[in-house]
Amino acid sequence: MSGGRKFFSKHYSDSDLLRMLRSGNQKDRAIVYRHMEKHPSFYPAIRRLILGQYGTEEDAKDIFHQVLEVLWTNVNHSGFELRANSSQNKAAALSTYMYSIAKRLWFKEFERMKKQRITNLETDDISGQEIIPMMELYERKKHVMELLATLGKNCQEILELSIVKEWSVESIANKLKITEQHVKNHKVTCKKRLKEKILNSPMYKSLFDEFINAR
Amino acid sequence: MGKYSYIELLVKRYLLDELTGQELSEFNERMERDANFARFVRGLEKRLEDDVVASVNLLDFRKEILKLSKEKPGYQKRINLQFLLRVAAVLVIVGAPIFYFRSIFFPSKIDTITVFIEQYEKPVIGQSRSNIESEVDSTWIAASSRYAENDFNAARALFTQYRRNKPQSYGAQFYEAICLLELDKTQEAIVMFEKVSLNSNAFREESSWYLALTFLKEANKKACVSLLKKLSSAHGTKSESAKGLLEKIENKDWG
Repeated sequence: MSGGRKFFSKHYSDSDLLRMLRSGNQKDRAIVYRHMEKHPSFYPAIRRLILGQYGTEEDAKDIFHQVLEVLWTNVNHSGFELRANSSQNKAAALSTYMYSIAKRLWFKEFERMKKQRITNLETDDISGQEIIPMMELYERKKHVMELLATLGKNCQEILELSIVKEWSVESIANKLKITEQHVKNHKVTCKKRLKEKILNSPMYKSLFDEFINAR
Repeated sequence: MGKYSYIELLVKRYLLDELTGQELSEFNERMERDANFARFVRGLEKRLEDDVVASVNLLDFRKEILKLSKEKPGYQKRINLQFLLRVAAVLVIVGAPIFYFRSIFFPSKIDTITVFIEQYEKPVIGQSRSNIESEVDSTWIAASSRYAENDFNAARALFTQYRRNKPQSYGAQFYEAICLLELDKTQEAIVMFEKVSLNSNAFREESSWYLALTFLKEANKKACVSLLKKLSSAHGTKSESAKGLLEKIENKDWG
């Protein structure tokens, strides 16, 4: 209910938006999405960038969604916060971060499509040193998510209900109309299959190589 | 090369719980002997667990934003700015006074639902109810106590624990569903209330009543009204309350 009320508020500070994105509450995240979709500094700015660089409306939306994923991943896994820059002594705006991320994502996509190298990336307030680790963390998590997406709908649903929504085995069994034992078995098998895929990915292969070479 | 592959394979099989008893004890011995190896395995184990959780969360987040994007496209069309400003000016001049007075005399849909739900408090676990469930059961007593203190997380866990020994306990299911409702896990609460209300037991009617309130909270008017009609025509203890709530819903512009 409180989320619904907040929807009608006019202004959210950057820290409000980050807190709501981190909260795990779907209503709060919907407010963040709607706010960013409308506020000129967020999606409209990214949209202008993409349309001005040979992209389509669809590309703009896709990049905006990826920027949200980068931000969400970093907020949740690396504790990303807006930090004051030592030279300017004030934190860059969240929209500036998002714009810089969008620029990098789009140029990367553009390079992939046109096979053309783009080099003029260092024109933002946010340096590559800050953005690149954010992008790398996202790429790593995205790669693992893509492995999960290959598992099939049933596995995805059981893992989503048990891990994200924290449903009990009983509730999952009731929802999917299967036995509790079936849910337990499925959960173990799906998790194992996902782990297997992750362990066999090049990302983990390099971890093994690093360890073995250091010995 | 052979050695490298062997270590990699061994660690992978350990992380996938595939080692036999003998292999596992040798592996554990190796971990005790070799601190570097143990650190590497533990680090990998944690990273793997983190990656599993992160992948599921990220996929869920992606679905969520795609759904939001489809619900309301926004900024898909180029709009003439001058036309937009004119419309906005007219809306402000005409709409603002209407909106102001409307909010005073007619509460919004959200206010209406909140008022309905806030009128009804969580059910109390009475002596008679606890007798139905159990005379002297320490888990039940602990669950009731946490529930009375509004510690719904702990109460829920204890009710679940209680049901492990007594899977047919409708009382425990009912109060657990109330806890889920209080914890804002409405979808799980709905599943549990439905289960109790579909079977013959002492909590059947009350469960239907709270199921109706849950539907109300979810703004599912159709399901809520349908349940309230059944309750009001059943001439039970919730019949009058159901009639009263039905009248309120029908009299409000909710919809």
